[in-house]
Amino acid sequence: MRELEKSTIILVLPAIVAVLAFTSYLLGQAFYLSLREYSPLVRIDEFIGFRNYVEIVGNEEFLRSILRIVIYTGIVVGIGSLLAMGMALLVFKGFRGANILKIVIISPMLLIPAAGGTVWTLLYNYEFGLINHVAKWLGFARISYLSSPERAFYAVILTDIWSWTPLLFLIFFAGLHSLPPDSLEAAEIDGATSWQKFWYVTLPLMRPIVVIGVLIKSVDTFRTFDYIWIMTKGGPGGNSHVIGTITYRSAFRFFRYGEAASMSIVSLMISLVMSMIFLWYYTRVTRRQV
Amino acid sequence: MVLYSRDAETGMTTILALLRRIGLVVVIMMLIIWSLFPFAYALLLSFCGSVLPTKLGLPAAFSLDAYKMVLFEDPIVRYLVNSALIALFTCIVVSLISIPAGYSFSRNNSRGFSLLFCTFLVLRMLPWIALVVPLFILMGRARLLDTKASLVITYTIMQAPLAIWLMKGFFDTIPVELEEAALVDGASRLTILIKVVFPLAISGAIVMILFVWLFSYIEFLFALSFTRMKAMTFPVKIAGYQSKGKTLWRAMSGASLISMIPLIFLFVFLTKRIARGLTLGAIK
Repeated sequence: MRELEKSTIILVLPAIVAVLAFTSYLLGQAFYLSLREYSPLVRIDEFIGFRNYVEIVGNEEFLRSILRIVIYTGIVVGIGSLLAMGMALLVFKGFRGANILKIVIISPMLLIPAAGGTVWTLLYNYEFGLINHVAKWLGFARISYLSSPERAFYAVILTDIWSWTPLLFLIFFAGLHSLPPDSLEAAEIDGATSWQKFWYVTLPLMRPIVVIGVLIKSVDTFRTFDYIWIMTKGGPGGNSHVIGTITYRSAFRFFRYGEAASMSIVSLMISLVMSMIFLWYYTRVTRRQV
Repeated sequence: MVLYSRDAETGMTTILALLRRIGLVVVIMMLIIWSLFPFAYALLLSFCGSVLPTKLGLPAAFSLDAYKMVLFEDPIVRYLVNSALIALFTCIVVSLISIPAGYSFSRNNSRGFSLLFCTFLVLRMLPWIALVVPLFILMGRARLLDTKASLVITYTIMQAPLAIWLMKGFFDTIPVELEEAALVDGASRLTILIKVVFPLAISGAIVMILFVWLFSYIEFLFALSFTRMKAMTFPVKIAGYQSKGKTLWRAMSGASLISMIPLIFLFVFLTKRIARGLTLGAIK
């Protein structure tokens, strides 16, 4: 066994060096940068301590961007899970053409985020967008979506829901397949209705899968950048900025690397909390299954 | 009297069953429309003439302008190749790192290794934005900006944790007894890994590679930050059809549809692999 341990240490070394050490170095660099005002554009590079943090925590735009990403994640994951569960149950029931429906449901995932963002920008377009075309046809007035300060944020949320709910559908659908059929059969024999079967048998059995799917999706959604940046660039008037986009803007539009670094460290802290929760639940769930 | 009420009952259930059936059909139709309408409109617009439709209905003229532009004038293939090469090299490097590491985490159950594995799990949840600024500065100093290498390096460290997690899972399904039997027969650890264990883990490795490839193909933030002209990737190009001045809607629609082709292949391949993996697991 000693020999096994020695060889596994050797085998894991590249991973440690290439990934763990390098990432730690980069994070350390980010922290170091966050303590400086570093802007090569105006040739400033000086140590300022925690002033960056004080400034961004007092910055209303930044605080709103944090609130927004929380709302964004909540809505996307919440509505997405409900839709995905509904679709999974529907397809799981099985009927003629269920397989084709499965393919149709999954198709939004085939549009890469960059393409999805631009296609939906087209759909939301005031003049040429399909959504306004249909509204006009139905007798409603045209509305501007992505150029409206109130609506742009929610328009992007809808795009995200459209694009990634199929992933949750796949997870839930696979989960439904892994359930033991005996419990459901027993419930049916006892005369349970569809709703009762779902609420008292299916859902509790699905809980670990649902939780893991939701947590994975939440972690991924929290990092979202693509859709918002492509569709609104955080606008109009900064009304759709989230942490990712406001950090990007700070770094690559304003060239304030120190400020951007401090924003990303704050984002990191929040993510650490989320991942602690996930790890706690993951170990609890996997331990229970053993 | 009894006959009458029984008829009423079956009548009611028939109506309910019919309503249920209709409801099901309506829901399915809505689901189909919801999932497919963006594709339909993008398809329509990609074949549109120079005057875009401003109301519901077919465009005034059809043309292949969009595809001419996307395929010939500024060939999208060039950016696809960039993305594909970056994805390929990322897959190679990630495999070299994650397969041995996954094996180690699977076979070594000591406290230290479990803790190490947890660290990699936590890395998986890192907000990538935290790495953008330090990596950008590093790449700038190493003169790697606007090169494919910059993205290969970046994607490797981003994807390795997930790849290690996947590979550990796959190696976990291979019983240790096989290796122990080979050890008894006098084989060295390395030959065991190569000749006994790895062939069984290949299907797992393929799933891992497909995930890494998918991620590299769709990644946008770092590609946008690090590449401009020489190494511009496919997603950045598609987003680039939009600009403050003039947006090329038709070309963008055509390019977006073209972007789906590799993914269709990938999904077909992945689902076949996963299905095979599931049935194998069930048999065990």
